[in-house]
Amino acid sequence: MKTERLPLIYRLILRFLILRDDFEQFCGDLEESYLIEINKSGKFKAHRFILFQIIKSVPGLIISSIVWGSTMLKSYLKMAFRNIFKNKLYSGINITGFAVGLAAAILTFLFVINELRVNQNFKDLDQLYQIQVNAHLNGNIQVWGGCPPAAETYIEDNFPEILESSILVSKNENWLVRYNDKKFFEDIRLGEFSYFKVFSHNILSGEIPENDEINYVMIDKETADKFFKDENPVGKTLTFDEKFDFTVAAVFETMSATTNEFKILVPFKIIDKVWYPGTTKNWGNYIFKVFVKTQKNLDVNSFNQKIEKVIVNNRKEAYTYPFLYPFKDKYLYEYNSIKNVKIYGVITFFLLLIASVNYINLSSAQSIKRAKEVGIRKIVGARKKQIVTQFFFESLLITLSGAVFAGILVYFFFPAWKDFNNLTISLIEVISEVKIISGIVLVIILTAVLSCFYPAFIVASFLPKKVLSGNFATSQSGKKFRSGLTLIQFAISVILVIITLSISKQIDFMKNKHPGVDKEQTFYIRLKGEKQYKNKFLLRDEIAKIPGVKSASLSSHLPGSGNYWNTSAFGWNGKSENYKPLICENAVDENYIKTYGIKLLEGREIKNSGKSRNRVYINETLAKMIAKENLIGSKISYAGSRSYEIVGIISDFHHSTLRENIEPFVFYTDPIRMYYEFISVKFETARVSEILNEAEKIVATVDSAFPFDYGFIDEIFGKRYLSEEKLQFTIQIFGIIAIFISCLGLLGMSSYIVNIKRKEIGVRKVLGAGVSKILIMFLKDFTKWVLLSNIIAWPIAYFYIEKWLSDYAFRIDIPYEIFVYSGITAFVLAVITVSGQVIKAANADPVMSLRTE
Amino acid sequence: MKLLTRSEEIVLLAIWKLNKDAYGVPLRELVSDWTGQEWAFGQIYKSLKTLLSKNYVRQYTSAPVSERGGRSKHIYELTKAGSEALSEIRKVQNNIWTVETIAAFEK
Repeated sequence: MKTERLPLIYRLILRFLILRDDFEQFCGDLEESYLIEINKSGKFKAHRFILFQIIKSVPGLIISSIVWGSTMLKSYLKMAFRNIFKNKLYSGINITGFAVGLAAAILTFLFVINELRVNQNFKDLDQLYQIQVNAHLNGNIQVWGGCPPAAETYIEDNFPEILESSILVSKNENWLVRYNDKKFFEDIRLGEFSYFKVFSHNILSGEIPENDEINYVMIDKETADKFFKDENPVGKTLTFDEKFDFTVAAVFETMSATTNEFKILVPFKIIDKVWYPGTTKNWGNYIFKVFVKTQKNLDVNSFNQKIEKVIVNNRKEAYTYPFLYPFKDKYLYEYNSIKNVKIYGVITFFLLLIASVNYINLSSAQSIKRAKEVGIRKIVGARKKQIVTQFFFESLLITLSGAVFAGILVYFFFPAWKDFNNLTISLIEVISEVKIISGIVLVIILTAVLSCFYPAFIVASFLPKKVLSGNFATSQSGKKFRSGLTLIQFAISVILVIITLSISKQIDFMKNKHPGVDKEQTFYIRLKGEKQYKNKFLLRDEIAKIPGVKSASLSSHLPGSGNYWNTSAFGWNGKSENYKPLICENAVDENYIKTYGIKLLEGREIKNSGKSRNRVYINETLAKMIAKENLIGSKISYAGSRSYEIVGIISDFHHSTLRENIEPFVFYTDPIRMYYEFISVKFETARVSEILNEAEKIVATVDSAFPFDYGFIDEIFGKRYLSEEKLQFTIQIFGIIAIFISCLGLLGMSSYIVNIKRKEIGVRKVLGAGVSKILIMFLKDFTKWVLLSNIIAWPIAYFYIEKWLSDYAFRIDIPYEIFVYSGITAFVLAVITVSGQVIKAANADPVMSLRTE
Repeated sequence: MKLLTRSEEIVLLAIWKLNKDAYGVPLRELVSDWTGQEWAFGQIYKSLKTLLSKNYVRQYTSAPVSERGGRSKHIYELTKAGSEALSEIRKVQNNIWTVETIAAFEK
């Protein structure tokens, strides 16, 4: 008889499907029958026979292997549970450390997701663009986000590739909105209704009007509820600034997660009446944003070539060239939120790293304790695979419980986190999105699995002899690995601490740096309405007379608010033609520098602003820019037509945050170009409420239609660094978490090492060593690693801090002392954590430690 | 004693019949011959497992055999309980199929 084996493919498939024992018998039986059949009926029939056998037998065999598998699974799980509960304390530490790190990582990850979603939720996103311009100024190219209204009209009319186009004013304006007798100041946006044809916001009721139907307004759900409660808003009339009546044409879903948020859209064309006539035909004003929807698959580069000359062809001396900027990139790249995304991404990664590293460290330290158990089991006949599986299950159980715990923590803390960061996603949204939830689950499983492998394999490979003789614990490789992990943990914690403290220092620096104006004890009143504007000088002077008021001043903008106008139309003798710097402007009065305590460096104060319209101040930065002798008395011109005389140079002040350099400023008293919107009042603190009441009455006598709108200057300044303060808070929290986990890890580790060295301690004590000597012996070891972790941490921390600080025009130097403090703190913490355990062991009765054998 | 299923009974009988040579291949052949149907190995194994769990048969491993690549076969053998079970079945069989019943049935 020929000995032909069963064809390989059958054997492979079977081996894969059923248990080993069953496989050996079945395969053997099949081979015997195969040979018999070949000799009886030939190869073809033999194959048919084998296939028949396989098809009929395999299902049953698979079922029995499943049954067997589940019984084994049950037994592994039971063992795992038992082992975990045996060491309640250490299991608890493991689970907690892992859970906290994981929860924190999930929260930062949610932040990342939130940022990535802003502006993305529109139909046909790839067809949405903003028209921006490249400004060729002073030899370099700046990108401006604005586009003049006339350019929009031209492009829309002449290029069929643009399906829809809309223009908005860049910022909201704050107007009084009244329905019957309900009145509130609301932020409104002037813009074209076609905005809603470009961006697919949900229209809840009504219809989108055409752009030239200027009797309409569109409001969002929140505003509708606020003014109309249960009535249907569509068709009702709202009065704006007591000047315009608009009918509500439609209600749209309240906007969120988009950079263009507004609540009320007022028809763009009325801007000719609100700002100045001809605004809508203007070719030179860039304070507008234009958004368009193009046809599908537009070749952007060739289209940009078509539109780039639009402005220069239509306006003398223009130097801007329009192009299409993809809307989906706006939030991340133009607003540079990608920076935050990266920071939080890095933090997420580090937190996950800490959580897993900590877990690996702890469990491998603990697995030493089980070495004896493993040795015995191996001798008795357990297969290595079984032991590994056993430890694997234990590890998995711990990490999964940690994950569940983390889930609970996330659920609990998410509302506060969402609030704090103004997130727009909701937990439910995130969970129901398959991609995200499977991503998170994947990460959890991956972390769990990776964390399991090392302890499982290390323990399972223990040679029984080595283990039973008790030498394993102090093995070289084990020690190095664990120390390496501790190193990483501590390095990360130190990095986070350094970064936190440095950010705090910068923020404190920014908050405390004198802004150059006296912001204390000053409030402002916002003038609204024709009547108030007409009587501005009267109001200012009357308010100045209130007892307790030190001075009152009119201005177009408030210092520190970051608001100002700028233009490149200023010129002076000696300025080169090609040099067209952007210069900022504010309209002020003769009391401005007195009210705000701004120093006059050269020249004299402006007197009597009502009459002397062409006298201006300039600030130091502009003075340096002009760089002429005898600036006082020289002239500065605007758009080649108006001419102003410089009467004084005032000291620089921060008109905005310290993120920006101080810009060159012109302060003039020509209310034709810019109107005075604010009265700033310097007061004596004791009388502040009376002063406010009096002021309110005075304004009301002129015009009572508008509610009294006031605020405090120091609050404006206080709010400037909100986002940095939030970053600071966040990093602090995560720094604390990282340290907490590291200390947990250190605690667990040190207690185990101490446990193992119990006998050694006992012997030393018997030989006469004091507790302190033993303590020092242990600390020497740990000190080495803590110092090393600092050496690793410092360069990394330095790199990130330097990068972050480079964004700020005004910044502290790298705070070297913080590095040292953090190092010392880490060291002290390590010492405290470790000492606790050591002292406990050292105080134990040597007889007890030496007795157990 | 619990009654055996028909398959289990047949397999048990086959084990008894084959004496020392009761393993997968001959068992399957014998049973297939008796019943006139081709039995799958899986069916045999299934019955074997139940019989084992009821302790009617015991399993032992033969010496390694070259045809199986050096691995051993599982061989099955009737236990005392197993032969008792077979007698039970025989008794029940006789109780049902008495001579008179057989005669009446054949008519």
